[in-house]
Amino acid sequence: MRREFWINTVLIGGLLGVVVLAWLLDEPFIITLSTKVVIFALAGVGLNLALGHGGLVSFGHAAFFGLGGYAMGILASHAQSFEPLQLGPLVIEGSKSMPVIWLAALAVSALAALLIGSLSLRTSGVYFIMITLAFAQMIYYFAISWPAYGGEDGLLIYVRNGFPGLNTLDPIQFFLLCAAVLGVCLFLVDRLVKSRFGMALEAARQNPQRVTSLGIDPYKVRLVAFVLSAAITGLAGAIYADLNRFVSPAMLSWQVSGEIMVFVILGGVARFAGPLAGAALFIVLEHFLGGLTDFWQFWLGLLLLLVILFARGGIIGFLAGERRHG
Amino acid sequence: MVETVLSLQGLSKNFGALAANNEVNLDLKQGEIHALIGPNGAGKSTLIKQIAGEITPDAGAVYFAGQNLNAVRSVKRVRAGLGRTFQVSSLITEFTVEQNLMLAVMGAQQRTFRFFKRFTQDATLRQQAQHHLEQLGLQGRSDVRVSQLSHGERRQLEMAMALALKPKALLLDEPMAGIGPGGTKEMTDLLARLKAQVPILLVEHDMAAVFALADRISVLVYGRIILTGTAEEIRNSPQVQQAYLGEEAP
Ligand SMILES: Nc1ncnc2c1ncn2[C@@H]1O[C@H](COP(=O)(O)OP(=O)(O)OP(=O)(O)O)[C@@H](O)[C@H]1O
Ligand SMILES: [Mg+2]
Repeated sequence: MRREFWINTVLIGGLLGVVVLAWLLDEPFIITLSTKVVIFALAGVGLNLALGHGGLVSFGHAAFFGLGGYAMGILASHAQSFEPLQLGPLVIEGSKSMPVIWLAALAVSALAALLIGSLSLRTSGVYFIMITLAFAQMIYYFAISWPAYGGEDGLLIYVRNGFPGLNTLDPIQFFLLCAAVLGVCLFLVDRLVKSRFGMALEAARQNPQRVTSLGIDPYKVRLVAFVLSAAITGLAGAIYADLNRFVSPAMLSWQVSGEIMVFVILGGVARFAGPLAGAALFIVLEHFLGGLTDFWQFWLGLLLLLVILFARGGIIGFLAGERRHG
Repeated sequence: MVETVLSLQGLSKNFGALAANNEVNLDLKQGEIHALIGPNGAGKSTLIKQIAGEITPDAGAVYFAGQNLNAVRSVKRVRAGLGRTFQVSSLITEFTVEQNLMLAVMGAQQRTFRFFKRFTQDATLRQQAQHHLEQLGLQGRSDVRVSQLSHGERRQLEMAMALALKPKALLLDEPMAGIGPGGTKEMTDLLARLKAQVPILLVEHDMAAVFALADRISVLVYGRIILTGTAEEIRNSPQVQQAYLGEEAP
């Protein structure tokens, strides 16, 4: 555990160091790339709660990532056009304020997860993987065929949304905001994992029959974990859409589900900083290897294979020189 | 009149052509140990699983504290007060002994959805876990991971977890299996002390323990109860001798 603590410190310190250096050298692109790492890590932190701690291999987290993105896109587009959003008798004003948008993203993705989870958590194993994928694909095709918000072309937002007291157009300020959100979520998930609930979730992953025989319903525990997991990934989606000032059905595609899963597995399943390590490595590979060869995904695949075969604890586990809970 | 806590009425379960339980009637009264004996494959564990709600009966009903449990899910049956141990130890193997017990205490308290406070700093949880640990003589093993425990210790932990639930009836599936003579002696003493607090349905192959403990014994053969009676009646029944006890009988 000690060693993993230092690895995490070096990882987080390294990322902050890169950003400070880029800021001093006036390299906004590196800052933006680092912001992307942080947002992907946040999406991974969400999935890690379900997949790592709950053993729930969701292959549909792009649904929540994309719904978060659309929560941002829809609210901002209504604010942009000064037309309130009409939901039957309900009239919602658009918003260009990140806190408002984030709350909406959290609520929408949590609600979707409640519906998807309450059905899919009745299955397990391969069926769970397939049913979460199926739900995500349904939402993906719905987004493509729904013309109101750009359909296949997606939604463009002209100006990045605001946050009280910050200039979010300044890359370094936006990065720090994203990093703060990641920090808060990492802290909260870490506490959750070590709480009563976290204990029940971990136990339900290992032996649901035993948990049931103690009067604790594994289904309920998993459902709550799935909803919280989706909410975090949804929040990451809203922020990611803000980074790009753009949301499209691509955010909902199964490839995105796969990528979020790659962050988690590469970095280390159920590891505190696993998603951050995974996302950082992914971006580094995509950017630098992608610059050298069009086949960078081949090398990513190979790396993933090696990690799965020889380092079950992901990079963090490998560096820490111990297996999970070791 | 002594109150009947648990009552099985015409419980039947078939696995394909095999009648694992065939119209089983059985009851468990306050303050007693009711032993269920029978040869391997007689259907004892199947009966326990039906009471616990893990297996749905094909016919018949389980009544607990006067309530028909057929439509009640297993997790609710536990909350209603049905505690059990498993024939093959079922524990959270990556947890320590103490953590397993903390989980059991959590189940008893029905306070699972606490998200922020560290469970290691949860004084009530730890105190109660420690209490049940000591009850089964597992103090000193508190921080040992379950995967490192001996078979006997696992059985003890199972019992401790069942007791932590403060059950109104206990279903024990072969608690003495493989725990050695010393363990059997301790477990026998514990059950003898416990029965005043909680009635026990005891599935057990160790005949010495069964005859020492049981107020009543039911004999299950090929899914059917062929006889229910006192230790004396069972011992002297030619039918039981023939079907089950054979040369083992004293
Ligand atoms: N899920 C199942 N599917 C099919 N057959 C089963 C199933 N569970 C049990 N059986 C069969 O039902 C019969 C009764 O099994 P059960 O485990 O209840 O016996 P038991 O009396 O507990 O035996 P033992 O003393 O060996 O534990 C056995 O023949 C067993 O093979
Ligand atoms: Mg059995």
